[in-house]
Amino acid sequence: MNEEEEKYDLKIILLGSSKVGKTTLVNRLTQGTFENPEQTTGATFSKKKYQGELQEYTFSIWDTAGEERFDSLSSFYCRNSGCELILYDITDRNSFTNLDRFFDKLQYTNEDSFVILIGTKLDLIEETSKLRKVTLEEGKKKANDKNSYFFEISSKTGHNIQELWETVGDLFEKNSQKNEIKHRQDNNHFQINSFTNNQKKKNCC
Amino acid sequence: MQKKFDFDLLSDTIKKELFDKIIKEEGFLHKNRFQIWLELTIYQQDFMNEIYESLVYCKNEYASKIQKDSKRNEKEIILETKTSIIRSLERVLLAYSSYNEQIGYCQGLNYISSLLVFSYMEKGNLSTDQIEHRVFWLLDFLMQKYSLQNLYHQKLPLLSESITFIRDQASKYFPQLRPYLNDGVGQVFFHGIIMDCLITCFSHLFPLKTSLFILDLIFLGVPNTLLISSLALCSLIQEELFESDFPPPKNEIQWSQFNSRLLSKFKFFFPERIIIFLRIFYPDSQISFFPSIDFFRTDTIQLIFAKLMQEQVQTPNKNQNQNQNQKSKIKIQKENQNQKQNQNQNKKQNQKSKSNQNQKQNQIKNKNQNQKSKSKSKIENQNQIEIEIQNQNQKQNQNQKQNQNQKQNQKQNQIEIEIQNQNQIENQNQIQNQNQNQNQNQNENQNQNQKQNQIENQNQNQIQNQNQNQNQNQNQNQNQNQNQNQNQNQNQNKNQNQNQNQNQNQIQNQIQNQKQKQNQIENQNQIENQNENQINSEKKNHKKHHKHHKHHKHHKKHHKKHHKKHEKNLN
Repeated sequence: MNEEEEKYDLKIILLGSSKVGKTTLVNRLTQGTFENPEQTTGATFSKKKYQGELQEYTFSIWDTAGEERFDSLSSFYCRNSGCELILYDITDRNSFTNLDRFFDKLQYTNEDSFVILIGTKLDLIEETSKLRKVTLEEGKKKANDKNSYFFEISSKTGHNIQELWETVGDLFEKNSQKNEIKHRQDNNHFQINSFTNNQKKKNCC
Repeated sequence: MQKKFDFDLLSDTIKKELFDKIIKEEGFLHKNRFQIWLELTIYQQDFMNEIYESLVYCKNEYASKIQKDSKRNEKEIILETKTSIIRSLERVLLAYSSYNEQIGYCQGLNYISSLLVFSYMEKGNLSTDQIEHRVFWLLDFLMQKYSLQNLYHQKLPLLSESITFIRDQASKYFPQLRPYLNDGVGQVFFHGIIMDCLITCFSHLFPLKTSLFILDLIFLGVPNTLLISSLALCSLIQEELFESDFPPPKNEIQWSQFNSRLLSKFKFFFPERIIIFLRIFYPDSQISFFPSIDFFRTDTIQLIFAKLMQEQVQTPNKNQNQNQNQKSKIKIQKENQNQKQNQNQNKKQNQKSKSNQNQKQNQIKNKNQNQKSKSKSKIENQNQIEIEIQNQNQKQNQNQKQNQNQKQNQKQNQIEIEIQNQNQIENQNQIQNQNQNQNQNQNENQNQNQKQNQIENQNQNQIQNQNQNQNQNQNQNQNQNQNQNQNQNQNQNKNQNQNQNQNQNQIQNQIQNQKQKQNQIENQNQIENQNENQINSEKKNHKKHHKHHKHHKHHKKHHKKHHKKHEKNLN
């Protein structure tokens, strides 16, 4: 309906159980701050710029509600998303075992979207390693199984945040280059087709 | 054992008193509110507290979630007394998740219960134990009695239904919003904000004043409070979208900017806005304890109301009935009043003519009684009376039909006739008894006068019943889906029947007294009074009927889908 609606270069959507640190990660990315946010019930939007090799891009970041019961309602948030960040809390085993329901949502996203699995709250481990409930290897294995990239981060200390953001940007640029090539090929193909169509019509006449 | 306080038993006047206490005195943060809420749930027996005590120390799957969520409530007022509130909140939520296994725990419950905990903290007189007990049972009251628990069930079916309902209604009422409701980021935005409001009972995004006001409405038993408040929210959104200095948002970032702008607007006159919508949805005396719009004499409210009316007039094609009803309400009322007056006049005339007829008939009957044997004459007289009654009823019905200009189907007539017959059988029995008494007392003339009056009364009652049935039939034909209204009709009919029974009982008692005294003059006076009373009651009944007709027309389009889906589940 809204043809005037402006679209950003990339739609990033954050998924994960409640209280794994989705909103905190958004705050760290966009404002560089760390604070304890209120729970998210619907979805909130924010944006961040990415300086690519040739030009500057603007990404929109969608933060969703983690509550399991809101899942069925919120699956349409995933429409047109190009990048999914799936989060779990490395000090909370449940948040890791529940991950599959978020991977199931990927069917609603773009075909060429890419997924990054993220273990959060790394800073808690640095103090006492007893708190860790999900090992690094488990996380990597899960990411491999699901054909996605993997990070362990801390929004509090900012550990791996920059690396994460650059990965997102790199993957986006690669994707868009592929798309451009595809787009050109499609255009060429279309021209040939239209040309042949015209010829046929002439023959018919 | 378990006493449950049924708020429905309270009369409207008491409700109005409560409401006045809450809103008119001392603004919205009146301390009586919490006492009133408590009075709603008399759950304070010791054994009930034991249930709570036993549940507090149960741990279940929701424990860690509750612990996390209860820390996250950042409402400004709660910050001051934070630590004690968080502890209480955790305990209450944990106990409730074990108690009500259907819901367990769901985000949103923490907002509602923190509001309740805060309410009692603020009061200051109670120990934390007492507070927790009360909040626990008050929460249970909200969930069970007012069926809010359906919003929190595992897969939230009611929530998504409610949201689609609100979206449909909003696109009807606010056509400008339509493109934003069904597509793009706007849809996500609406979805999010309405879901938030529903699931937290408006206690998350709104200031304390508004949240408490909406809880008041729910506790006072106003039906569909949450849905109507959501529509009020949509009206606010529309204003903010199209009448502020900012252009409508075009992408998600502009939407989130819009969101923060909108949140700042929530401070202003939102309760009043809800009242406007409640008035639109419940235009007549259905919620009589509710203050009229004039109660809020702020200019802004009057402006909003006027604007809403204009908007509905601007889209006449789709909402013709609604608009006509809302706009020409006053005119219709006047017309109805005139009609009622005419009807009453006609009825009085009919009654006079009836009484004359009855006198003549009875004279004839007396002769017949003297001539024929007693047993046979009784039966024959009864038959005659029956026939006469039928004739009278038919005449009256015809008159009333003409007056009311109602189109009646043949089926309806058949049903009416059946009902007439049933009533007549009842009348026969009564008359038989009366005749026996007559023979015993040998005061035939006096009693016959009484009989005449009784017959008249019964006829009137019959007519009332017929009218009710007519209305019911018409309603059923017109609005099969409007269960709510039918229920209301049925309730009203019950009341009316009660009144009729009362009248009949009064009459019978009076007749007994009359027999004892055997004073003709007193009898006549009393009977006249009775007739007057009945005429008055008839007037009232007719007014009610008219209101209901209006009500039906008015609600037809508003509520169709809504009634199907939500009526059973929401209050």
